[in-house]
Amino acid sequence: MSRWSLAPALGPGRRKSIWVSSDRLSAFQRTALVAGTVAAAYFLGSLLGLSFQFPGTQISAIWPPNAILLATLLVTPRHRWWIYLLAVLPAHFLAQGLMGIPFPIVLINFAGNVGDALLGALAVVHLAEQPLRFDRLRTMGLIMFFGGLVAPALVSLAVGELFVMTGASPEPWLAWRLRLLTNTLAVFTLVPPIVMAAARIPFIPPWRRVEATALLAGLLAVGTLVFVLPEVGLQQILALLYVPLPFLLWAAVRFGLPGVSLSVLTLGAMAMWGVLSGRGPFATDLPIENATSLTLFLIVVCAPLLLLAALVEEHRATEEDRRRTEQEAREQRRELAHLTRVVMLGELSGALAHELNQPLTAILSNAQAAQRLLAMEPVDLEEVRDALQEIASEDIRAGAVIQRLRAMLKKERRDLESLDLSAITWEVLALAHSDLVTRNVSVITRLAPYLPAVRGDRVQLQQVLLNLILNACEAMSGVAPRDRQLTLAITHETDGIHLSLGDRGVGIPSGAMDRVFEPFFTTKEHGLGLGLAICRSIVVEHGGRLWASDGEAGGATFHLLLPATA
Amino acid sequence: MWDQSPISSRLQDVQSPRMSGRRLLVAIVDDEEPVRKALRRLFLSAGIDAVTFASGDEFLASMSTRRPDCAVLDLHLPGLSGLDVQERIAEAGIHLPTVIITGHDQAGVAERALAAGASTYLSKPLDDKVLLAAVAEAVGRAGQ
Repeated sequence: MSRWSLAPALGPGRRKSIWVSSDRLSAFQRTALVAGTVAAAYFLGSLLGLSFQFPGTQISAIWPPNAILLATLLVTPRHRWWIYLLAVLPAHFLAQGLMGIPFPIVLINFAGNVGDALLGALAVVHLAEQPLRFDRLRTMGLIMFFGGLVAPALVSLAVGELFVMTGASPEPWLAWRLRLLTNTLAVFTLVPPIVMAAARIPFIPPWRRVEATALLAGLLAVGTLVFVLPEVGLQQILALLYVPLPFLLWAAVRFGLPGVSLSVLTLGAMAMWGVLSGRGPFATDLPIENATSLTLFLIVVCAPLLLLAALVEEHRATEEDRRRTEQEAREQRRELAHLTRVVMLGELSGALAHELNQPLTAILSNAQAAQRLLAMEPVDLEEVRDALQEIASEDIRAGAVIQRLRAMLKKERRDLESLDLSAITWEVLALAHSDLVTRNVSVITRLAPYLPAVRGDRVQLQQVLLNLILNACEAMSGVAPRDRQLTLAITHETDGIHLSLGDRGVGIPSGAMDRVFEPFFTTKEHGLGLGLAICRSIVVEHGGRLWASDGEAGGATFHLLLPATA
Repeated sequence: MWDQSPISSRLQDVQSPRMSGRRLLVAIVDDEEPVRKALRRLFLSAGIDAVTFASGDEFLASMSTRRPDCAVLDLHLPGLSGLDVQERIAEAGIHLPTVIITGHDQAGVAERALAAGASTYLSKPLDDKVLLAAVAEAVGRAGQ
């Protein structure tokens, strides 16, 4: 059988479609599989409801089939609802037939169950924000109010009347009350775990299993203490009913909605056990009253805790969404940085070809000279050896150019490392060397010795520097070649390593000193206006600052300040 | 081998005693030392003397003391470019055959170089036969 899971229709990203099959199944097979599962769950739910029946009555403390049906409708698309409603029909007949319920009542029950689920699901789907998100307080509140209270209350009115008409119940209000309460408890305790599981919202992550076990042990202990050990009646142990509360709060805060639901179910089961063995607060003389009080007790305990859990869940989901959004933004920034880096290198391609052609020229000419030398008589071996030596060293030089290029073109994320900003500066100057020569730009460097390291991504910091250098060259393209001078200084200041890059270009218009870092702000004819914006985002991500000022000798000076490592 | 090629036979012509019996002298102007050394080695191995200069200014300054038969000028030089150097020489009324070489082939530059009087415009890396033939042709043309 193929792996499948109930995945929500109804949420962003990972929670995209409804019954998501992992593989291989066609839509038809998937629907059939879900229908079969729902029918089986409905049948088992009926049997479970039966086992929660109070002795001597036909009243269950909890009636799961309706809640299972409601949960199914909430996590499936509306146009398939009819399939699932039809699918549970045989399960309903089978289960109620086994219970020996008369046929007319079986029909009324089915209509009632379908009515509950449909009415509740329609109300929730209409009133909640789409797509449905079960980790939202509003959605959960609507499910509890409409699915757990309003729908069963309305439907139970009709069912109560029909029961009286068919003689199944002496008066409508008793049937109404009992039916409403058992359905409410079922919706409160079963719908949250089912829809959360379908939405693949993690309930107990592996690292919380120990904690979950401890919670369960605690619940079993207090359940035994409150519901199983005491003598019959509530009188002397009223306060004991509050003992489970801390554990339920624990479940709500740490394990969310399913945590609360399953904890309340556990307590309910223990209370039933107490009742069946004639002990505990809910085992008095009047079975109907017992059933009502137990169910009511569980509902009252469950409702506020579910809302609290939904609130916690919503907070957690919002936080997770925010983190994911931030992560996506970071990824996009990285993509954009890579893209601009590639574009920048594209602009440099001519200069880079020159940078590669130089060693290639030396290699070829040396090799051909050596061939000629070897053809002479006598052979000047010394000269041939020198030629070979230079071929080797020029080859290494060409390799280094390619290495630098490859590093800049790489896309993958690098780990932060300790870096020497001076070394990075030299690497970038080597990369830009040919471009600087072609543009007749001379570079004056004043790099302080023994600088502390900075922490960062080498390629990204190189990108920032290269961008600043190319911008400076661009700014100086209009001035006389002898004035095209770039001054690059690195100093160790109290607040970090300070790199300044001054040009003698046209400068930055007053008022635009900070705007040059805004996206799409450009003074160039063909610029996109992203370079400096990306540079600043890179620097900020490194915990540094990037700003511009007027140059001392005209032009502009860009400043980069990065925190020094210890 | 190059000995059999028509290019080298032409080279033999220019190296012949037609040039008053002495070996040709080529000036190489390139800002990168490995390139200068390699080109010089190549010329020497082909029986041509070569002097090297790291900048246009250096080369122009040397012209007053020693005039080569041909100049191989790199286009991209710090300070004066290869074309600038060529212009300065022309302005000074000196007739010097020049071969412009470049590692960064840009559109329109070849035309400009040739229009300014360069004999040949070559892209790096330079094949020995092509370079030697270019020099031979430049010198030959100058000698006619």
